[in-house]
Amino acid sequence: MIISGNCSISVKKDLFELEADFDLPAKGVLGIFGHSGSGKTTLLRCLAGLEKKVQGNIRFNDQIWHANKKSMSAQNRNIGYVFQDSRLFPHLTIHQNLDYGIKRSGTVNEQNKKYLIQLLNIHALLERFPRSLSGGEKQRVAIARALLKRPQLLLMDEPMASLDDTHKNEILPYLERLHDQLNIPIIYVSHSLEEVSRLCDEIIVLEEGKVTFKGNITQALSSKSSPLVNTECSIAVLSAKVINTDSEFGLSGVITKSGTLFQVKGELRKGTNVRLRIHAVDVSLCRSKPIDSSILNILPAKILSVVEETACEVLLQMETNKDIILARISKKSFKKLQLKFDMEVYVQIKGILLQTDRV
Amino acid sequence: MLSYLGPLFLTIKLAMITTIILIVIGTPIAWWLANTKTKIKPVIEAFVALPIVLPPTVMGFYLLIFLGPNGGLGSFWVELTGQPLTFSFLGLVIASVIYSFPFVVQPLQGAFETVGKDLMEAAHTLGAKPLDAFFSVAVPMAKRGYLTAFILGFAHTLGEFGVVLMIGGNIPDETRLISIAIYDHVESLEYTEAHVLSLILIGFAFVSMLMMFFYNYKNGKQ
Repeated sequence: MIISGNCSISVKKDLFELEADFDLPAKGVLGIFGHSGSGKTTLLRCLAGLEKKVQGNIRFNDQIWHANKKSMSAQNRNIGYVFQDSRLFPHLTIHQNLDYGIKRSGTVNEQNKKYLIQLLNIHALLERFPRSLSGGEKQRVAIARALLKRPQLLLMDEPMASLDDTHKNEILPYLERLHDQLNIPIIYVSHSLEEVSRLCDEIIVLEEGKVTFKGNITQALSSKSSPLVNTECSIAVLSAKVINTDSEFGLSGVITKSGTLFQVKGELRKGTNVRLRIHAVDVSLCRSKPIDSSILNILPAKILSVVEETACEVLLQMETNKDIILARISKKSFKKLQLKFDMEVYVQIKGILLQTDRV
Repeated sequence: MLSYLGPLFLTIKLAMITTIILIVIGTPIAWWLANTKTKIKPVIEAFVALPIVLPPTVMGFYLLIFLGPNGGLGSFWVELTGQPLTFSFLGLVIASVIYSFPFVVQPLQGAFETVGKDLMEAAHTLGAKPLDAFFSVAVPMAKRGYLTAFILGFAHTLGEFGVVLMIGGNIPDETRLISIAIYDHVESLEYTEAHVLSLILIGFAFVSMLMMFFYNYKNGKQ
């Protein structure tokens, strides 16, 4: 990770204490992951300058945002903030909402405005008032409004938490586009592993006000020391590049940095960077190479460890080349196949979720 | 013939001046009350609300002492200008400001409380300094509160009687307000004049209230 600053702070609140020390990225998306009450929103508010009684230091680029008790006020930090509840000004039209930040930043850039209105697809909403917008539309406007003042850092506080699944799926593609097309770093607070695995490059995990893990997303989702591994929806994330396409069957071949080959759906342009997400429940194991399986992606792998055991299931950490994949299988099969540490097996991957244009 | 309308214009002038002063000094106080976390907030709120419950004569009595030539403000004023504050228009303005205070501060406080701090924070993250955010977000959002505050402050000052009687007396074009004039007309059995002034006041009060409720109705429908 290329570093643009550092945040080392502590905040005492009535019922809990937050302590965090981490680097701020210069590009890409840093996720702050935690359950509700873990202090992730408070941490983001500290970065924005909205929280009082903060102790410690925050430095971003060449600016000191916070040093001991001296704090730069929110309006002077060059940030964009997307709130969970969008917080559009109800007395202003969408257009006026967008202009609010532009006027105060002193940088008028019509081209940038047009670009963001198009990127977030809000052109048809400009003359309307916030109350007539759906939750998803409001959030898209809020994102555009935050970006129009040309911030150096975008802070997003669970921008999808207040939306239902349909609207989440409406917003996610826009967020992914932001990730790919903006050249400013984003700090993204979330309690959803799904979102984090789709959007974030780096991640810090907060538990009860303490940072329990920092690292890149692949490590965070697959290394045994990470608190994210033994969750309900364990998922592995791999970066890969398209190397060939198979137009007869509508498939593409992709390869990871360590040389693992996968076949994925869709004819993708050669050279495109993709992010592969593999749910642990979509991975099954065979002791010998299956020759008559319908599954396309069958790879030799080694069992690195048993991450978690419940009454009926085990979560295994597998290594193929240097890539880590998680597999959740039944305890019965685990015993029947006599699987154990360091054993060479084959993994069958039923489904690969794919995102293109990944750096 | 219309000479007895003098008190009407004097009353409107007093109500206008009082309300404008109240909006100006009431705004920061209401904002502070809406946002403060101090433990003495209920004490301040109770103090602000006192004029609603106190009989006007009680307030008038203490204002008479306070504004009188021997009172705190009164003696200072006499020393400064040679004029007493009691039984003067200025004295009435001061008394009305105190008397109508809660009728302006309370609606404003309520309106500012609905604005809340969330939108102010959003304004700050978009680069607005506190005063800028206040005028560009809080004030326009509280416009219904301002309208209510203006009408209530104005109407309440219009109807004051007890306080005026205690500290204003009955000096034509100085302190002879409409409520005093009506009382006088009734006392001297000049029912026609009393009717004219009373009906004007009823009409005026109704139109003010109608404006307020109509505006709220229109806004509520949007």
